[in-house]
Amino acid sequence: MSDHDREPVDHPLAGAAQASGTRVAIHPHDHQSCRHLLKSLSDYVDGTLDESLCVEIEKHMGECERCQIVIDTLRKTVELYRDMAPAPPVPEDVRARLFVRLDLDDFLVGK
Amino acid sequence: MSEAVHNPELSVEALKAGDRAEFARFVDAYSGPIYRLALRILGDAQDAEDVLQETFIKAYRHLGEFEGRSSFSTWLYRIASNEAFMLLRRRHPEMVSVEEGTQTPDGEQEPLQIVDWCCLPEEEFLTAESRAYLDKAIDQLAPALKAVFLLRDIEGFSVRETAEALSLSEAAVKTRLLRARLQLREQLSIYYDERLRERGTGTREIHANGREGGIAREPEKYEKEVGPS
Repeated sequence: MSDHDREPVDHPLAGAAQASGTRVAIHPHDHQSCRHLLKSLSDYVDGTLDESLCVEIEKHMGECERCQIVIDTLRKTVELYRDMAPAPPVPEDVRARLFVRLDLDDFLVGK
Repeated sequence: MSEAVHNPELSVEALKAGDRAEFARFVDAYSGPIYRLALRILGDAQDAEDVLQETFIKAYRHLGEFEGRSSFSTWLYRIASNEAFMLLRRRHPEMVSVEEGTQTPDGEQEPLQIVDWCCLPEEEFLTAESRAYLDKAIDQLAPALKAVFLLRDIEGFSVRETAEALSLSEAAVKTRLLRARLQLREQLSIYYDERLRERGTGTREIHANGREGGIAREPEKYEKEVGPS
């Protein structure tokens, strides 16, 4: 019997699957890796993770599509927020009251 | 990058010397991000305005104490975040827990939404609705996580700058940042999963949560497609 024929098991990165009783098949592998990986994800998507851990994560992603999806969507999440258009500046009336409060009203004209 | 962290034109020396014109420029350079941060944390325009004013009043009074150990902007943000969290504690004592977001990463909530929505066409991410959703999702974060996320991922601070601005350790910043990002990923996954369904292009979907309308794949089918070869 090859590795491919083993019984599918629940994946630790799919808590809801267990909660709802929907079993999601996944090939057995070292689930400790998934958990271990979870705490390194921010550093990984920021590119600040130690190289040895990156290698470990990339190897794991090749074997675990769930983790691959979590990482891809996490990276996309961060990208979307980073690309978000900058919020509008302070409203003019708020700025005016701030300048008055700071005794800077003579500098109010022209931003 | 943030206008706050990288504003090379302001002279700290002139500010310390009491140059009012320089102080006015300083207020204009920083009031935007300070106001946005306060508005996000407090969720109230009047409270945000109060924080904005108090921040600059305190900054003005304490300019002489700025020693240059941290950057000028993180020093200012430290004043602002202190003011914002102090007011938040007064307004909503139940919302501010010292422990919030400080648990070990081992206690991290495991991802529930396992749908690859990265394949959506780029225009899907640019709609006004999509942008509004992103915005709304931030407001769901606990204030302690929100502050870290805003400084690091929206204003573009480094981990170290964020730590200095919020008087946290870098480890605490990283823990909170991870938690914030994971929570936002969950929120965005729910939203973009819907967009995938609307388009009927749910490639590489794996619905782990079995909720209504989900199209959980048969285990054998899943195995066939993604099992190691």
